Amino acid sequence: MDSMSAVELEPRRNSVLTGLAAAGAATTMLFAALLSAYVVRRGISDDWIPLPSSAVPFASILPSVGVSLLLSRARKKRPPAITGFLLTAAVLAGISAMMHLWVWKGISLLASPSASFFFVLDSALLVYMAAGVFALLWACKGRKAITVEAVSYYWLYVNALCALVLAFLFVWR
Amino acid sequence: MRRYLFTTDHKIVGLQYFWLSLIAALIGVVLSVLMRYHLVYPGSSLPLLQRIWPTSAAGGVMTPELYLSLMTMHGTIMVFFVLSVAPQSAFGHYLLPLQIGANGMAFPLLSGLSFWLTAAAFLVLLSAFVIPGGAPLSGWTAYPPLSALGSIAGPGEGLGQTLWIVSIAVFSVASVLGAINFIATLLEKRRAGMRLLAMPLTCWNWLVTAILSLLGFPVLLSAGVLLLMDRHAGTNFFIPGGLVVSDQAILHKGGSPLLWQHLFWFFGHPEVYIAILPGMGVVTEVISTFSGRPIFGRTMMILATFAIGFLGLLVWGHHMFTSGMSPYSSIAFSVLTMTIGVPSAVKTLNWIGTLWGGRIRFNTAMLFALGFVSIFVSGGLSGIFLGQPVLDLYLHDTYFVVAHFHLIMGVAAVFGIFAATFYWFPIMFGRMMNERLGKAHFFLTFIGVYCLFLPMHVAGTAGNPRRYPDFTNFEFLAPLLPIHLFMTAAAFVTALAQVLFLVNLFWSMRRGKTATGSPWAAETLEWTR
Repeated sequence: MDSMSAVELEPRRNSVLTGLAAAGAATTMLFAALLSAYVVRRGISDDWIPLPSSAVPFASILPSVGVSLLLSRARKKRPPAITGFLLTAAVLAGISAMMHLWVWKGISLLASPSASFFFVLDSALLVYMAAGVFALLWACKGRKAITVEAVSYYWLYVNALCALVLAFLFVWR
Repeated sequence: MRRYLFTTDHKIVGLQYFWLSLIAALIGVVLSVLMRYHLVYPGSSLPLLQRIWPTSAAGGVMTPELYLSLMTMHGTIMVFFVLSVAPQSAFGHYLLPLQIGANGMAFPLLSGLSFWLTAAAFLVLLSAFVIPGGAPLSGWTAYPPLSALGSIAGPGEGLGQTLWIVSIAVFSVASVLGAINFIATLLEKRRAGMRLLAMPLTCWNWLVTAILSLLGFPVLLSAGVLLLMDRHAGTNFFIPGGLVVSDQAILHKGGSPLLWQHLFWFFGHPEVYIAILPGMGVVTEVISTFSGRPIFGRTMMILATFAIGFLGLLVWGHHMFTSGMSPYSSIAFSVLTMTIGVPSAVKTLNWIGTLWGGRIRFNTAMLFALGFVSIFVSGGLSGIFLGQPVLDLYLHDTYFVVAHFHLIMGVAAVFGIFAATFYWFPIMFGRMMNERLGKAHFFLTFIGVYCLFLPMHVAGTAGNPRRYPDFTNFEFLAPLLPIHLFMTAAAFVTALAQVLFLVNLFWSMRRGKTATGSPWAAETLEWTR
């Protein structure tokens, strides 16, 4: 898939994966800060109204899990076959984002602090999903093994993050 | 022009950061001199002020609001655009790949991107000076509810505060991108054969600083986003109920200003280590080189660096001893704060141990390194007092705190920057700086900062509050006015002394003696390339 030799690729792969891990640490801190603010705000006031329970937010995880499954298949393939997997993954990611936005329709920003947090947290998730879609399209363009591997780890992380955030918002309400 | 706009060359990016932080430092120093002048001559008229701020300084007299705006911008510019940029981003981008034998940073695109985001953040911040309402006045800590209520809270709290938050948010993103780049470069791009433990100590300090940036700035970003929402979307993250401002009831309720404090200081304390650790790395290298000896206790220095970084993430509550938190929490934060003194002392004793018995060359870089050690110890000692909750109840928000953080963070870190500039000037510009001018600059600055900040401890223990635009109306503070006059005179002399540095810098770039090989007989890799 790549023109560089394995010896040349290994340091580049290590740099990319280390950078990705560092970015993951920063993202974890961002969401840790927001979720800890959520926990504190929930605990200190008497104006907290839980979000309406809904299955749609959790259903939105299914397409993005599909993205991860497609990427794990793509890593075992050679071009041009991977292009199909990556494009399908991008479409599924877009569907997942649309489902998130569908949930927005039923929630008013100022209805309750919980709703305010929902918009902040979900907006942050959507930013990461948008970056993930961009990364999928970028991987289509270059079709490098390193890029596909990195994007697959990225989407695994985003899926875990989505599940955690939605659990805070809609389960531990 | 295209070369500089789109560069990903780590040396050019390093120089871009260097010049940005120099411009920021000059603006910050001018603001501080204006503040010091106003404190001792509060009613006096300066025609220049009227030209720049015709509304806030009508007749050339600084209003209290303008003073607080200058104070806010001074703190923000110095902490973010000088202390978080020069030691890490400027010298780090330039020297780090050279020191580890890499052919560049791990992600060159991120180098350029992080610089231009930083530059954009700087311009956004500076624009607060020229917009209607002016710059914010809530301090570099931007505590709500003052910072969350909008223009009703005061001049500068409208668009000015919003621009401040946007600037800090963009700076946070830039810092995280830079940190990712530093960590990947240090861990994966060392030349073959250079084990992690063999890395120069400057690189270890850059690594720990990058880790602190990675973990701290996202928290600041999250706090900034929530504050923006409170200001513009009507949410209630930080604004409590029951507020009446300018005879107007504020309809927000349920939020917590303490929540902002926790989020801010969770970032804010690691930030002070982000400011000082790279300087410690430079000082270690300079002391070792100009003592003619390897650093004493190399492994312990590495462990101490990590200990400072790790403990720095755990002590944010010592900025909040007077916030009403549980005394048991205060005890915990106090004990951890004292513990940071241990690795700091390890570093100080190791520097002294390196000097002991060495063949010391007292050139300018070494003088600034020694000055760093002196000022770091002086500033650190006052921190031990502030780390006791009982004492901090009295000293909080007095000039004692101002003296402490200016010495240990402002001056010491700046001495690290000066040491780095003199030390690495031959690599960065191919020439040597003038030693005579350098030494004159050092002695004037060293004496000047001690004259400026040591008496400040006296003012603080006498109960002089900080962030007051005018305390000449308070009878109990009248006896302290001579001290303030002395400090203002020292501030003027110290500020003027920096002209020597500027003359030396620009003259040496053009006319300095050409540098060849390793002019300091240093043994790290950057001198061999």
